[in-house]
Amino acid sequence: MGRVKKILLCPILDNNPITLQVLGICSALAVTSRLKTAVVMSIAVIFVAAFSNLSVSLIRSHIPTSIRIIIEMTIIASFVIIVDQLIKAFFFDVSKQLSVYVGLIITNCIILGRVEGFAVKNPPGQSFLDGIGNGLGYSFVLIIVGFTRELLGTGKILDYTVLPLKTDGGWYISNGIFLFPASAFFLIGVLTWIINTLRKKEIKGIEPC
Amino acid sequence: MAVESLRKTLGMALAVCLVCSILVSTSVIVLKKKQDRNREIERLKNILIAGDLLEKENNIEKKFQDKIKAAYIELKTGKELPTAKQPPAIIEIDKGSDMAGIKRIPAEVNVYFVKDKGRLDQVILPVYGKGLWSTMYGFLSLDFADLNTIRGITFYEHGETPGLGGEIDNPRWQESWRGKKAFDEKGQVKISLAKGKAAPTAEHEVDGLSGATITARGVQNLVRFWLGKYGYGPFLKRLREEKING
Repeated sequence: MGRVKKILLCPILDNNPITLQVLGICSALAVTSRLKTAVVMSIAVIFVAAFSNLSVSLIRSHIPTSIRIIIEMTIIASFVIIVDQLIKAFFFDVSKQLSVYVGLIITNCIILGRVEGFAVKNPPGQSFLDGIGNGLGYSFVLIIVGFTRELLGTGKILDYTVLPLKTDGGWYISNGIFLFPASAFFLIGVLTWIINTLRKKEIKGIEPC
Repeated sequence: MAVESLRKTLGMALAVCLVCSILVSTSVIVLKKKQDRNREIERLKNILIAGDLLEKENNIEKKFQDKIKAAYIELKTGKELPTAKQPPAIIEIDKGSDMAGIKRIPAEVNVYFVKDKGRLDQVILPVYGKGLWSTMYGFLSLDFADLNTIRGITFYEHGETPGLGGEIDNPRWQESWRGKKAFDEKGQVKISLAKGKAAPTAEHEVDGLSGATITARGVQNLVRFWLGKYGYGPFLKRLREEKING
């Protein structure tokens, strides 16, 4: 695998931040009760991860170690506020559902984890891709969970009825537990299990990410 | 210059803060106009929701103009004022009467009449008060016929815990307010939030919010405050008198 391709694609399955590194679980539970909020949250995290990585990487040789984390957090926080403002301006209804969780991207371990673990010692181009890759890995899980929860919980996908509900004259009895955050635990657990079982089978001969 | 020197450390801190603050303030200023417009439409939408007038989420401004007549009133006397004073005077509320926890209120506010087939059908009142984390802003709609039956309630801005206090957004909970009576026979504000589900026969009681005791108490207090003598009490009294006198 080429270096670029590896940086971009590795975090999606092989080294997924949620299922393998178990980071960013908090927001994955909170924003996945509908697919739309999961998608908007994913875009926000990809944006913040990519640009925080890029900015930190650009100034990496000038960051004094004594204030390293503070500088990283300042940069991350700034991008999160910008994203929050953009969502409030262009996705107003979603912004009300996401409420505090966009602001909480600041504390999402994936972002600081990648900045600390990758961007401080790699060139800007690769860091940018690493941010996008890890954002995509997060999105991958979020979208699967959001899709499942909205479908089984409400019988809809993006507010379009897929499984007509019995209360509206259809046949599907909605499973309310999928609308509660706890269900995301089960789904992420099952997903982690599946991905790790599949990975173990083919892990021989593949260099670790 | 060495990366670890004091000057460099201070310099970097300053430079990063400067660049970040410029980015953040630019994004806030550039997007403010659009966000304000979103908020205004959201407000109009919620006035329509409080009156149960919203079927589809399009043409909200047009629907608002068709159905709703805004009036500007002075709270203390309940009289309608011809023009809005900008900004209105502020009334301080003494601690004992400040149930809603808001300390001061404007002397003059907008209220909204709903017209239906040429006659007045509802009156929609802006209300707000403190919950657990935040001030909750909403609208309360009363039936114009008796100025007692609640026709709807909504909250359009608050920072309560999603899933608990945030359930004040839930249309199903808001539904439980419809048809309840705000005042008792003596004209005292009686409406309260039950612990758990309200009995369907209890005409002064609406469903509580499980896991959100303080938010629920806040909602009850703000409704009582705004229907009381500091809030819309005088205004409602004037409307009642005008109806009796024709």
